[in-house]
Amino acid sequence: MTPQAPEADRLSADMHANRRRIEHVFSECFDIQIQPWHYGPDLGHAAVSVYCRSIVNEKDVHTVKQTLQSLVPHELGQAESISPEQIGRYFGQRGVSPQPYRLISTIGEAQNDVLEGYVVLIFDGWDQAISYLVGKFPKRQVTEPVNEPVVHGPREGTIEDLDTNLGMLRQRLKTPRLKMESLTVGDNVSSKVVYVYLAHAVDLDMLAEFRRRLAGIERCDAVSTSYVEQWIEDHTWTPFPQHRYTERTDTAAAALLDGKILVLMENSPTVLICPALFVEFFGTSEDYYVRTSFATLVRWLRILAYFMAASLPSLYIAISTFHPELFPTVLLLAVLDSREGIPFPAFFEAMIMEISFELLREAGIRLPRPVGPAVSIVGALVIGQAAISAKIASPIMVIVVALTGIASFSIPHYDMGIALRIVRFPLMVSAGILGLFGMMIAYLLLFLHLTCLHTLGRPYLSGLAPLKLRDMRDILIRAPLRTLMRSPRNRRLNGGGPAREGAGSR
Amino acid sequence: MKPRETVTSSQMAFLAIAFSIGSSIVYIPSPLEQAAGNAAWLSLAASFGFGLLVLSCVLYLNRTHPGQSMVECCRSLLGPAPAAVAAVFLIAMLFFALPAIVAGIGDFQTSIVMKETPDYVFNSFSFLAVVLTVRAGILVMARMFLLLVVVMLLFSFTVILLALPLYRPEYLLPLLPGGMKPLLHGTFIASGFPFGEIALFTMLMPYAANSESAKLNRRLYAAYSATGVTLLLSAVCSTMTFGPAAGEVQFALFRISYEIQIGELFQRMEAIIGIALILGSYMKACLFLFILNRTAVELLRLRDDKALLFPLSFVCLLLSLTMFRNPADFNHQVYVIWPFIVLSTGCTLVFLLSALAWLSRRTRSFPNGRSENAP
Amino acid sequence: MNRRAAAALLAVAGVLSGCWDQRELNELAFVQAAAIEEGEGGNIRLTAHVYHPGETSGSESGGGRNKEPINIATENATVFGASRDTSVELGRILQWSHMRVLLIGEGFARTHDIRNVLDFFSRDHEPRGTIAIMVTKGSAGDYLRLHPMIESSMGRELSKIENQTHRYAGKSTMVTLTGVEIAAREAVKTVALPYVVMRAEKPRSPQIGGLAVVDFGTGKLRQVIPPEHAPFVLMIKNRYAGGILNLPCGRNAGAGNDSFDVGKSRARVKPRFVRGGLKLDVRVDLEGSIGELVCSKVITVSQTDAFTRNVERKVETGIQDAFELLQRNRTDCLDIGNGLSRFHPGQWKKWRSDWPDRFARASVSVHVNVRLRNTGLTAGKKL
Repeated sequence: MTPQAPEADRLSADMHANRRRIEHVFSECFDIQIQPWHYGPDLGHAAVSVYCRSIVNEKDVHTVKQTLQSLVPHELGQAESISPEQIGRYFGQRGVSPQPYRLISTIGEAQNDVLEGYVVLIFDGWDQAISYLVGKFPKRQVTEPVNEPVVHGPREGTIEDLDTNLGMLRQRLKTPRLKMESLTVGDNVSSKVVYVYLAHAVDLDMLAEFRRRLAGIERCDAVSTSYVEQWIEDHTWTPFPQHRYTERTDTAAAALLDGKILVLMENSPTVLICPALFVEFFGTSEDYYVRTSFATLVRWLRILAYFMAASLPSLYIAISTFHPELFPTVLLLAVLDSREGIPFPAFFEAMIMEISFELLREAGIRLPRPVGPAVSIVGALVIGQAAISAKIASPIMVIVVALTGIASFSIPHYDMGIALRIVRFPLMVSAGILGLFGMMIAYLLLFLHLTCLHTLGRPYLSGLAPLKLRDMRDILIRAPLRTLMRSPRNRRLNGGGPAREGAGSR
Repeated sequence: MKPRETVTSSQMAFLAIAFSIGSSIVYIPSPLEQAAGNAAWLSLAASFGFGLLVLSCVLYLNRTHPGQSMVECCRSLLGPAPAAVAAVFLIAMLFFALPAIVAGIGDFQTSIVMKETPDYVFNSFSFLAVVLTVRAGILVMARMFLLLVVVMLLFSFTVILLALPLYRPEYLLPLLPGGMKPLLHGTFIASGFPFGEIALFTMLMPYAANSESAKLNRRLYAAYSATGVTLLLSAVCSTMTFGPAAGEVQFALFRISYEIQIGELFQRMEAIIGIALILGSYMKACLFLFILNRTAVELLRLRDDKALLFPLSFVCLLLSLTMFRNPADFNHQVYVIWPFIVLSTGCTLVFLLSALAWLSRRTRSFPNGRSENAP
Repeated sequence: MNRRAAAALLAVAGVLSGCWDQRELNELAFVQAAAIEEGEGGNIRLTAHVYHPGETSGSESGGGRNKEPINIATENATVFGASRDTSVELGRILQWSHMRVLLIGEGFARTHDIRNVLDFFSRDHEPRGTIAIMVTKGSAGDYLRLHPMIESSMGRELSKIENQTHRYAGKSTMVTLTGVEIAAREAVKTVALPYVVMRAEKPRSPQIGGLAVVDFGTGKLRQVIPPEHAPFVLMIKNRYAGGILNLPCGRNAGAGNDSFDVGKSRARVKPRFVRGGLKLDVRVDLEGSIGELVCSKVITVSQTDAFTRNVERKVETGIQDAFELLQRNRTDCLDIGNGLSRFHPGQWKKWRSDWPDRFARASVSVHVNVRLRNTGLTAGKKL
C-alpha cells in the first residue's frame, strides 16, 4: 500500500467517473463484469460492483445486499433508509460486516483487487470503495504427489493454491515461530511469493543472504518457483542442483525444522527448499518412517545406485577397451562371445545405447496418455531385442544400459538424476580416451567442481568435505531416531524451546 | 602477504598425511629393498624417527613464529638477503620434486597398465587436474583431501588385509643380511624421501588456525605416525610376500594386489590399489605446487597469488617430460641425489632456523645474562 | 585468454588425443595356456592356446559354443619375438592376462636355462604372477592339443588338475610364476615343479606324474621325482595339503589295502650341527580319518594305536626313501638350506659353498605322529 497515492489515481466521489476509468483500464477484457446497482428511496442511489467473472464464483456475488444488510439487517426491498453517507461513515470506520472487506481508495488498488478475485463495490457519493473476497477459484484436489510416492507416510501434496499450501504447513508446525514473509513479483504476473522459515531454527546469516539475493526479483515476471531458484542460485552453469524441490508437505515441514527456508509461490505447486546440500539428495522422508536397519541398507543401496548411474557405462568402456585384464576370466569369455561380430567399438556402442535410452525416457515423459503403452513396448523391443538381433549392440551392453537406467531411477530427487545423466556422458568420453586413468582424472575434476560449489554461502559438500563424522549419522547410515532426536543436526532447534515433532528429515 | 584462509587442525593433519604418504606409497619399499634387502623395514623405522625430529622442529618454528612461513621466518631470523637465497633454493628443490612426482605417475601408468600411451598424455592430464585444484585454494584442497586420504588409506589397508594368506613371516629373516651398512644406506634414502620432505611443510603452517596450536601439534604428530605406520606396514608386508625377490619388484603394493586370489571373487584387485596410488601422488603434487607458488609469490612479493600457477605448472610439465632420460637415470636422481638435497637443504634449513629461534628466545629472556626473575 | 576459450581448447585437445592403448575386445586373442619347447636351429617354439570366441546372439545359444580353442606354434630366438610372430599370424594381438598355465617341455628344460624364457613372463605387465608353471614329459605343445574333458580350454583344465592333485591327492605342489621368482633368489635355488605326463591309454588326458626339480642356479631341470615319492617330499617341505595313504594288508598284492585320508600335515625339520656334519630331525604330524577299511579294525584304543602306528611306519619309510633319493642326486629341494640361511645364518655362511655335499652326507632321523580323528559314518570295522 503506497503511503500517499498520487492524486490522479484516487477514487473520486463521482461514481460514473470511477466507472469510466475502470472501464478504460479493463478495456477489451470481456470477463470483467461491471454491474450497476441501485438502492435507496426510489432506487435513487447508485453503486457498481466490479469483479472478474472467470475468477469469482458468481453465486457468491451478493455482496451489495450484504453491505446494505450490514447497516439495516432486516431491511428488505429497496433499502429505503440507507444513504451513501451512512455507508461511507459505517464502512469508513470499519463497521462490522459478515464478510471481511478492505477499504480501497485508488484505482490501482481497485484494479489489483479485481484481478485478485475480489469484488469491488463503488458507491456513488463516496470516495472510497469496498472490496470483498468471495469464494475461491476451484483448484486441484489435494492428492498424493505424483513424483514422490512413498509406501509409508502421508499422501498429502501441495497444489497450485498458495493459501492451501500455507495452511497445510501451518497445520504441521503449530508454532508462532513459523514465519511467513511475502512479496509480490512481476509487473505482469503480480504473483505472491512467500518464503517461510522457523525463526529459531534458521541460520540468521543465511536468511540475510537469502533476502539479499531476492532483491530485485520484484521486477521479474516469475511464473513458477524455479524462477526464484534460478534468481538466487550461486552457480548457474553447473548441472548440480543447489536447491531442492518437493511437493510433499511432510518433507517441507521437516526441512523447516532443519533450518531451511521454503519458497512458495502462487500457481506453483512445487515448494523450493533452500539451501540444499549434496548429501541431502540421498534421503527421502520415508527413510524416517521405516525401521533403522532397513533405512540404513536402503541408503547404502542408493549410494551404490548413484555410483552405478554415473559410472557403469564408463567402467564398461574403460575395462573392455583398455583393461581387459580386470575382467574375471569366465566373465571375459562370456563377454567375448557376445561381442564377436559387433561392428562398433565399445565406446560408440555405449553411446548409441545410452542416447537411445535417453530418447526413450524423454519420449515417455512427453507422450500423450493414449500412445504411452505402445511406445514403451516399442522401446523395449527396439532397444532390447532388436538391437541385439541386428548385432548393433551386445547383450552385455544392453544389461549395462538397463542397470544404469534402473539405478538412475532409484535416485529420489529428479534434479539430481538429471545431473547424473549429464555427468555420465563426459565420464564416458574420458573413459573412452584414457581408460581408468581418464575416468580417475574426470572424477577428480568432478570432485573439485563439487567442492568449489556453494549454496547460499555454505559449501555444497558440507558433511562430506569438510568431513563431519557427526553428520555421517544421517548420511551413511540412518541412525536410530532417538539418537537423532537427542542431538539433532540443527543445534539451534533445541535451544529455542521443546522440539515438537519430526526428526531431521529433509 | 598474509594468508586469508585458515584450515582447521584436523584438516591440517590430513594434509600432512597426504603430503608425506603421497607418492611414496607407490614406490616404497622397492628402492629400500634394493639398498637394504630384508632390513628395509628397519631402515624405514629409523628414518621415521629422523622425520619426527624434523617435524618437531617444524612445529617449534610454528610456535615461535606463528603464522609465518619458512621464507618469512628466514627473513626475520637471518635477514632478507639470506632469505631470498633460501627461497631460491626451495624453488629449485620444488622444481625437481614436482616434475618427479608427476613423472612417477606417468611412469607407473606406462609400465604397468597402458604401455603404448606416451608420457605426455598422462603428465599433462595430471598437471591439468593439479593446477585446477591448486587454483581453487587451500581451503578447497583441505576439504577434498580429507576424503581422498580416507579413500587412499582404506584401499591400501584393504589390499594389505586381503593379502594375508600370502604372507610368510619367515621371509623377514635374516634380519640384517649385509650388516649395518645396507641398513644405513636405506635409512639415508628414506630420510630424504619420504620422511625428510616434511621440512617443506613449514610453508603450509601459516594456514593453520592459530587458535588451535596445542591440538594442532598433537594431530600433526598423530598424522605423521599414521604415515609411518602405513609405510612400515607396506614394507613389512612386501618383504613377507616376496622374500628375497622383494628388491626386484617394482611398485610393491601393486604387485601384492596382483597376487591376491581369494576364491573367485577377490582377484584382479589391482585397480583398487592403482586408484590409491594415483590419488596419493595427485595430492602430493597439488601440495607441492601450492608451496612452490607460495614461495615464488613471497620471494617476488606479488600481490596476485594465482598469476604464477599456470606458468609454473607448464614449466614443471615440460621438466617432467625431459628430466629423466631412462629408468636408471630416474632411480639415480630420485634415490641418490634427492635424499641428499632434502637433507642438506630442506632439513638443514629447518634445523638452522629452529636453532636460531631457540637461541634468540634465550637471548631475549636473558638480555644482560641475568634471569628475568632476578631483582 | 578467457575461460571459455581455454575450456574449448582443452576439450578439443582431449578429444584429439589419439588412442594408443585402446583396443577393442575383438582385436585381442586371449591366451589361456602356453607351451615352450625346443624348436629348430636352437630357436624357441612357443605354442599359444588361444580362446576362440563363438558368436552367440541372445536367445539362440541353445547349442552352446562348439568352437575349439586354437593352438598356434611359432618359432623365434626369443619368447617375445615368438609372441609377436603369433600375433601377426593370427591377425589379433595376444593378450596374456588370462593365461593360467605355462608348460615347459622336459627336453627343453634339461638343456636350456629356463630363466631366459621365464623372464618375458615376469617382466611383461600382462602375464600375472599367479600363472602355474609345469614341466611336461615329452613335447609340451602336444598337451595343449589334447581335448579338454570338461572345461572349455586346456588351460583351465590343466590348472584345475594341478589344484585337485595338490589338494586331494597330495602328489603335486602349486608353483606360480611369483613363487619361481622368489625361489630363484633364495639361498638354495631349487624348486620342485609339477611334472605332467600323458595317460597311456585313451582318452588321452594329462595327469600330474611326479615333481620336476629345477635348479635355478643354472636354470636347468635336474631330476624328476617319481609319483610314489612325491607325497613324502611334499610332506617334508610342509606343502602337503591332503591325500590318501594306502596301507597294504599283507605282503601279497591281492591282500587288499586300508586307506587313510590325511587332512592336515605339519612338518618341522630341525638341523643339528654335530662335529662338522649335519643331522636332520624330521618331525611330521599328521591328522586324518579313515578312508577305507579292508583288513584292520579300529574299534578299541589298542586297535586304533596299532592302525596309527602302521600309518606312521609307512610315512617314516616313505620319508626316508625320499631323502635317500634326493641325497643320492644331491638336490636339496626341501628348503633345508633356505631354513639354515634364515635361522642359522652364521652356520650357513660356512657351509654355503659346498652345501650339496653336506646335504648328501646329512643323517636323517624321522619321527611321525599320526592322529586319527574319525572313522567316517560307520564304526571301525569293515563293511
